[in-house]
Amino acid sequence: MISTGLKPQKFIEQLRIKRPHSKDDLPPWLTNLHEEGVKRFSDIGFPDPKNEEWKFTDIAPITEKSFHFPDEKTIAELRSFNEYVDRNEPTIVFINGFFSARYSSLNGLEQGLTITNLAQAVKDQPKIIQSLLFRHDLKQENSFSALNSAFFKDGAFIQISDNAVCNRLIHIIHIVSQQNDDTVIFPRNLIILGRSAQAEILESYVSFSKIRYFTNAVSDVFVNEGAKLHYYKAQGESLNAFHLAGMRIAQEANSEVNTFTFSAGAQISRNDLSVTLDGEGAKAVLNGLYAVSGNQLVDNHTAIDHKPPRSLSTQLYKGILDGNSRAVFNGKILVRREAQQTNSYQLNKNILLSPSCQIHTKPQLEIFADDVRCTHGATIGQLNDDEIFYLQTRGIRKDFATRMLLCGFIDDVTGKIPNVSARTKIDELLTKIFPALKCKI
Amino acid sequence: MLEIKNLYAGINGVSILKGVDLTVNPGEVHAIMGPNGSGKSTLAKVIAGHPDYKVEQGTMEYEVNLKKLDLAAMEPEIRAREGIFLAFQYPVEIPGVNNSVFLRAAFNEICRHQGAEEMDPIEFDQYLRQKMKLLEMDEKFIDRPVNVDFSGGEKKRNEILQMAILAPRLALLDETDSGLDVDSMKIVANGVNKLKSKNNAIVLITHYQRLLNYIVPDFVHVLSDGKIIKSGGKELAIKVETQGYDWLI
Repeated sequence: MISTGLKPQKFIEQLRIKRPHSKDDLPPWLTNLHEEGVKRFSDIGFPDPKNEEWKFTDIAPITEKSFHFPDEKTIAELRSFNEYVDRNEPTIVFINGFFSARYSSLNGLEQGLTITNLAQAVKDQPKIIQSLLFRHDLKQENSFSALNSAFFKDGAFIQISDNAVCNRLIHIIHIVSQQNDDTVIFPRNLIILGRSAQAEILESYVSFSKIRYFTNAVSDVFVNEGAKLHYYKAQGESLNAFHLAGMRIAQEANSEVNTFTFSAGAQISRNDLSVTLDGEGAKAVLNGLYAVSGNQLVDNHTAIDHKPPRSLSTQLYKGILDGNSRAVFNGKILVRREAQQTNSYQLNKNILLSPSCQIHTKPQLEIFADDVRCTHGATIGQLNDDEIFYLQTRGIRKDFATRMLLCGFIDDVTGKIPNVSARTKIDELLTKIFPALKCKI
Repeated sequence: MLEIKNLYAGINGVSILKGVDLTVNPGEVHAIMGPNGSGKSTLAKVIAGHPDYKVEQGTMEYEVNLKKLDLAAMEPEIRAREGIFLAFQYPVEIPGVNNSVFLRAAFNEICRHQGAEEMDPIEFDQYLRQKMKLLEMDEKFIDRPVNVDFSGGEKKRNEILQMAILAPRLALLDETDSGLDVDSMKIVANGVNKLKSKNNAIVLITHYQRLLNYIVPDFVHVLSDGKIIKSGGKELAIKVETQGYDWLI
């Protein structure tokens, strides 16, 4: 949908003046890709509230601002950062959008595992990167993935070769550190798993500051036949930040992807998670959790495209809202005509802790095959007074009872995180921002 | 131990208890009977401190360890930590909260309050298993979420298990017998009898005399329209069973 209300040209021009890299550094195909991104974004502009996909997510606070590129490359909040990172795990760090070799841990990687920054990968393996970056039709991109295509400079490139198994958690960290307000970063991450490869990846967006900035990220994930991936995304941005991210996962036959999308930070955040099940027997399990308060807004849009026969997708998203916060969940499931014997489940459950928070939840099923099983559901509720009283009569304080119940509520999402290291990190990040989820007894 | 005087209490502005007087001493078992809607469950909830019920008049004095406490002024969790326990008529299901984690959290809160030593998970696990034997409960209940997918009888047993773990001074059992088959009732009653001592007291709320064959009360009270209209020994329960309440009202 073409929007007219907001002015994309002005937004782009401001950024183009201060483009961080001269065109000469880049191979022509990449310059071309950026130009295509600019063109696509200029054509479609920012989504306006009339756009069904953005009906409940007003991005005016973002579009009204003028952003600039950061220049600081150091971490001011080292202590918090060090607490969060485990340097015994393969880790690639980006500070304010810049790759940091110093804080990354990329030595002694497993056989068959490549982790590097994308800008380096463009130099080392231009052909592969070019083909991967052009895999998505730029003319189909939505506003913010087009914007990212126009301006991305770096991000993580992770390749796991055929049959390789990486047992350690791979951690991608995008940290925004203390600097002037209103900077913007455009991380672009590229992940490819070869046939029957296995990996667990955590993608973190963090800031241990209160500054205002804009993260516009895109992650493209390619999962080949029989490969198995656990992908955790932890969004713990500054509470004044904006985070608009797209993740596009393409799965071949008999591959399995489990995603966990956690959102607690940012004033406005949105995850557009789209999964294309491109081969028979592909399985996608999408779990998500959002916990927001104050004036935060969190939006999760998922889109699953069942193309071949016999694929499976399940989704479980849970949300806890407090204060004047708002949340959006929109789960689209497309079952194409050829996709017979598709199984697809979707469930979104929410707890509202205050009378002034809002949740907009919507399933969106488009089914063209006749032999399928699709179910969906959504619940919105409050904490149950009887449950709280029950716990109180056992000697448990009211606030502790509340925490126990909330932790019980999210347990079937957080409890499904098989990787202990990822679970610990996500738990730390979430509870720092949303203390009511601190469950340790 | 508990001295209730002229207690008036209600919910949403409607009075349900209309002048209850009740004295419970250590070592005693009291049974409260009465027709539907007479206020039996309300009395239990008011003693335990349900926030929806407001005390309008009267006093509830609770004496423990030579301290005299005004129950109405205490939060429900403080009442619990001072030794008051309510076994619910309809135990609440708590998805995602593991039974043993919940029981240990409760147990340790009470220990902390009473200045007793807390238990670590290993010690507590042994303690829990020992108490579960008392109620002939399967070990699978240790790690299941509190009351979730428990049958009616299992929930009631889980209530008495909690009573066994928390070792209250004053236990209020609200229709613990309802929904139990005879065998389960015997097990539950046996558990309660083993927990009975000269230092604690039990108040049974029940519709039927049946339970009182297994847990023998020292006193039986008949509650009607928010007031205790008749008190007596266990023979009163038998009379109610055969003659109903009409002759009393």
